[in-house]
Amino acid sequence: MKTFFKSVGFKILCVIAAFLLGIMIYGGASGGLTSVPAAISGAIITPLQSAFSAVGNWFGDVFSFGQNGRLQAQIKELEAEIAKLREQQVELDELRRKNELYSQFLELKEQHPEYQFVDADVIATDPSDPYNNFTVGQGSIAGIKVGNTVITPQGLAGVVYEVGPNYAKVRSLLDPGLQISAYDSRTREDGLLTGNLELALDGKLKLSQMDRDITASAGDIIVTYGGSYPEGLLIGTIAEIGAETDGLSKYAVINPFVNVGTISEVFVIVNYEDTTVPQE
Amino acid sequence: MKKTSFQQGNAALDWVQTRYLSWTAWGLLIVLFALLQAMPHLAIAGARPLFLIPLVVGIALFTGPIGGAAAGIAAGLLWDLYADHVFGFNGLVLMIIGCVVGLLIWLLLRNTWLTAWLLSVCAVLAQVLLEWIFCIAFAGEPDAWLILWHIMLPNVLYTVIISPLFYWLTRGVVRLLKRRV
Repeated sequence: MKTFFKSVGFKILCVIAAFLLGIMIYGGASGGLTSVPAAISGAIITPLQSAFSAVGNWFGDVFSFGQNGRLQAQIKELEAEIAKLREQQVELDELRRKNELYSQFLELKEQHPEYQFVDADVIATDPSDPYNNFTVGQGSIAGIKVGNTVITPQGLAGVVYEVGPNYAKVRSLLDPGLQISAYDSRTREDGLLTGNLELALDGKLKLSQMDRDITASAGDIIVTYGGSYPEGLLIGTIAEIGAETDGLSKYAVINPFVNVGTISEVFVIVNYEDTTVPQE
Repeated sequence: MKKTSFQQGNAALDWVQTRYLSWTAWGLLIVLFALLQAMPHLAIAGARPLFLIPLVVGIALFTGPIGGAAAGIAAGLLWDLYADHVFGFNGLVLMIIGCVVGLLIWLLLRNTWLTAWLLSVCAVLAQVLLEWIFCIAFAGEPDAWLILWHIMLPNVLYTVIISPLFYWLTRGVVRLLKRRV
C-alpha cells in the first residue's frame, strides 16, 4: 500500500486529478465546455458517433421489429428464402421511412423558402439527462450557431446551446432552461413556453403567463411567436388549461408534436427572415 | 543460467507487445461502449445502461490501480464529451473508481464474478449519487428528487443487472491475450 502511494504512477494520477479538477472549475466558471475539449470532441468523437448512430438506427429498427414475440416465433419458423424476403422488406421500410421524412422536409422547405436549413443526424444523448437533450452531427462548419432553432417535419424540437466544429448540442423543448414565446393559433393568445420535470416525464410542457380571461381551449394548436425564433413553427396542442396558484394568470399543458426521445434526424434553421412586426 | 542479450531483447519485446495489445484492446472496448452508451436504442422502459462503469471496474480487476485509473480517465472523458454537465466530472469520478477497485483487489478482495458484481454495484451507486449531488442537487435543479427517482435509479438498476457480463468480457479478453502470448 505504502509503495503504491509513493510510486510514480500514483503521483501522475494525482497530477491528472488536479488537472481535471482545474478543468471542471474553469468549465463551471465559464458556463460550459471549454474550447479545447470541444475541439477534441469535434475532431475525434463526432465522426465515430455519427458512424455508430447510423449502425444504431439500423439496429434499433431491427430490434423493435424483433421485439414482437409473435413475429419472432414466425420468423423462427420461416425458411431461409422467406427470411431473406423479410430482410428486404425491412430495408424497403427503412427506405420508405427516409423517403417520407425527406418529402416532409421538402414540403417544409417549400412552405418556408426564407429558411436556410442544415440537415443533421442525432448522434448522442446522455442517459442521465431527464429532458432528452441531444447532440447532432453538424456544427459550426455547416453554419450552425448557438441559438439556432432545431425542427423536424412535425414541429419544433429544440434550440442549439453549444456548437463545436462538427457537432452541436441541442436543448430540447422539455428542458426548463429553454423559454420560448408562443401563441394559440386560433385565438392569438400568447404565453411563455417552458418545461418542468414533472411534465417532461410525461413528454409534456407548459405554456405559462397567459391572461386570466383567455378563450383558448383543449385541442388548440400552439406555435412560436417569433423574435428570437422563426414565427409560426408548430409546437403542439393544448391538453388542458388550469389557473396558476396566484389566481392572476392561467397556464396550458401542451402535448408537443415532436417526441424528442425518439427523433433520429432533424433540421437546423441556420438563417431566416424575421417576419414578426415589433409591438408598439 | 544467465540470459543472453538476445533472450533479454526478446523478453522485452514480448513485454512491450503484450502491453501494447492489451491496452489497444481496452481502448477499443472503452470507445465501443462509450458510443453504445450514447445511443438511445438500448433503453428499456426509459432506463438507459451506464456501460462504462462496470467496464472500468472489470478492467481495474485485471490491471490493478494504475491501469484501472487510466481506463477510468479515458472512459470518463469520453462520457464527458456528450454529457450535459461540466467537462471532467466523469473523468475524475471514474479515475477514482478504477484506482480504488484496483487497490481493493490488490490488497483485500478475491477476483471473482461476485466481488466484481458487488464492486460494480458500489461503483454505479457512487457515480450516480456523486453526479446527482454535484451536478443536479447543488446546481439548484428544483426537481432533483424526481430526477433521482425516475431517471437515475432506473439507469442504476439496468446497469447493475448487466454488470456481470462485463466481468466475463474483461476476463475473456485477458485470457485471450495470455493465450496469444
